[in-house]
Amino acid sequence: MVAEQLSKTEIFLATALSDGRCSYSFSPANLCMQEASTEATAWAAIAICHRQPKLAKKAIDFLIASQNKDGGWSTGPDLGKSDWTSGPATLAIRLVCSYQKQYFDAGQIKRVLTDAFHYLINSRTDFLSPVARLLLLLSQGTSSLHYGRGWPWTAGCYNWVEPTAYSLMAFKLPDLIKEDLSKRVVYHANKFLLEHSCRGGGWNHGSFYCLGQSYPPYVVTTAEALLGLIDIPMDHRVKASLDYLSEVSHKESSAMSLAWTILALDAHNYNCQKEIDLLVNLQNKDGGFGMNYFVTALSLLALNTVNGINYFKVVSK
Amino acid sequence: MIQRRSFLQATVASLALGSCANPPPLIKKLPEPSQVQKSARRLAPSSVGILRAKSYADDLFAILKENIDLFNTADFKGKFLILKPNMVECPAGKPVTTSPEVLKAVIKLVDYLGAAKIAVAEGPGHMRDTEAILAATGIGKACGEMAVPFIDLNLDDVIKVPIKESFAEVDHYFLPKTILEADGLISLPKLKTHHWVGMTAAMKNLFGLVPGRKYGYPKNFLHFKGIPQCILDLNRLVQTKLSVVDAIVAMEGDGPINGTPREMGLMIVGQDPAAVDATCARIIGFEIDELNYIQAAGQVIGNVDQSEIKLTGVPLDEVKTQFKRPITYLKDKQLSAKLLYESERSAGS
Repeated sequence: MVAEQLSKTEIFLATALSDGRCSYSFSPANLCMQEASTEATAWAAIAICHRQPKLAKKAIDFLIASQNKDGGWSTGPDLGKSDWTSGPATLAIRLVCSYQKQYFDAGQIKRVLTDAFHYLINSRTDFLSPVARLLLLLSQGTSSLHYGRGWPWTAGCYNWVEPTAYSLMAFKLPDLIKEDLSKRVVYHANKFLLEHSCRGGGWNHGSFYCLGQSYPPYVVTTAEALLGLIDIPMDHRVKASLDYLSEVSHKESSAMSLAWTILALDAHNYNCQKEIDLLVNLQNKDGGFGMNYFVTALSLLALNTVNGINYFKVVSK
Repeated sequence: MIQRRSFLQATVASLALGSCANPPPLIKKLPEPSQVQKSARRLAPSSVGILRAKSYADDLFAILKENIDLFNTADFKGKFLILKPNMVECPAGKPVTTSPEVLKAVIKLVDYLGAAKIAVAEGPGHMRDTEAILAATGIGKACGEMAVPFIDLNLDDVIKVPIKESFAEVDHYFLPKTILEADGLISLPKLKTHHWVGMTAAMKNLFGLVPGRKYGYPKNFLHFKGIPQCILDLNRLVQTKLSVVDAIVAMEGDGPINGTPREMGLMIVGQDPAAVDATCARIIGFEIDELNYIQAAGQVIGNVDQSEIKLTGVPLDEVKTQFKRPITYLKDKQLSAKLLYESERSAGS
């Protein structure tokens, strides 16, 4: 049953990606929405790379061609400064080029990824000025400088859960980058996510507490954060969040929530058959899921877990 | 000696974090508007209807139709119109989002007034899962029942739109192509208190136009550039043809997400969003000079002085009340500061 659904979704997504780029929405009601999306292309490339490596290569070539001079990506080609989509783009290049090495020029990919990680490392917002850091160092020692730092949606703004999760995945998958600076960046970002979990587990967009009130978690952000923290499954906040997610997962009715949930729970070795069944029932007649290609790509990734394929799992092994 | 060292360390650490950190101002002071900024302001007077609708079960379309004088039919006939509800997020049991019944009534109204094409569009501010919000709020079902498409503005194609003399000191915004290509926008907000700007209704609702694909979820860029500044900029760039505020059940207290329901039994309707917001503010017990973006909108967007607003429907004095305010907007500023301090101290506990 799932094999049939998988095949249908794969064909649908491959058609959308035929020229190597993917827009977000397939809503027939909208006359716009033809613009290439960095993010949708990135997730589609990952989703399809197992069975259609040549098409995935085309998508990666598109991403490489649209990389900005600073090493990051914008939401689409020529759409302003680099932004949060740099995380998914970097992740896609790392994963696809790692699993389909034979299709890529190793030297070129190394250069692209060096620039991409340079951008990611430097695009984190730090609200402590050099003077503040120096004062902290003098008064509290080196440990005081290891405060939580994630990534913003747009440069210079606060750090938030989702861009942090996407960028963390790029640093951790298919394996953790061993270099010291990257390890420190990962440590700070892990700390940021853990410090921003909601009371009782889970994550919302990043505002777990405001003006004396605790705010509840969301499903999608919880699943994304759990994937970002895939290498520290034993942390009590990760465990509490897994409990939250597994408790609410079967109540979910949207393809996006279910797809992220399946990917996160499966990566943490939970059985997701019930969620897979729910997701399968949400498939559109044409093979797509939800309202756009981004959700379709996530759903294809989630359905592929029934075949033992989950790219988000590798680092935990 | 140890105590002294600890004290010194704590003092230096506080200095480091307090004096040398660069936290962003959520609320920056608004400058006096320039002549360019004032140039597109709507002329007085503006008409605003305060319409009685006891519950969502009432025939809301009939109530709107009875007040046809409030609408400029030329804005509707043969036009492609976008209806923009508030769908910022959907916590259970909280009146955060626009009611699907209000949406359906306005779809019927716009159709009745001769629109050629209607779409519902929104870019939810806090959550990426638009499909889940559509389901939880009932707005998806309402669109289905009315056979009107929904467009996720967060993922729409985007266009770089230049702005002259921006309040937020930016030279452009990226905005959804759908909004820019439509003939007009209808703002369908929920009336709520708002802990950063006091109140949210017709003008603040335009934050949902800003695409998440570029600015994220939340659209934190707008907070950094100043919420009042961005409200004014967006309302200068995209002029709404009509606002219908859902105040049948509004939100008071710690809005816009965590407040409590307040039954008002009203819809506030008008073409000038500044006049509509000023009327909403008066209804819920704010003075206009307490809400800096509405005050500034009186020079830039439309009319906010009572003398420049022609009210119809239920008399203002009959519906005026005092909403429970967020702790950031108490009339007693000292108490506000004390509660704010206490809430920050208990953060994370």
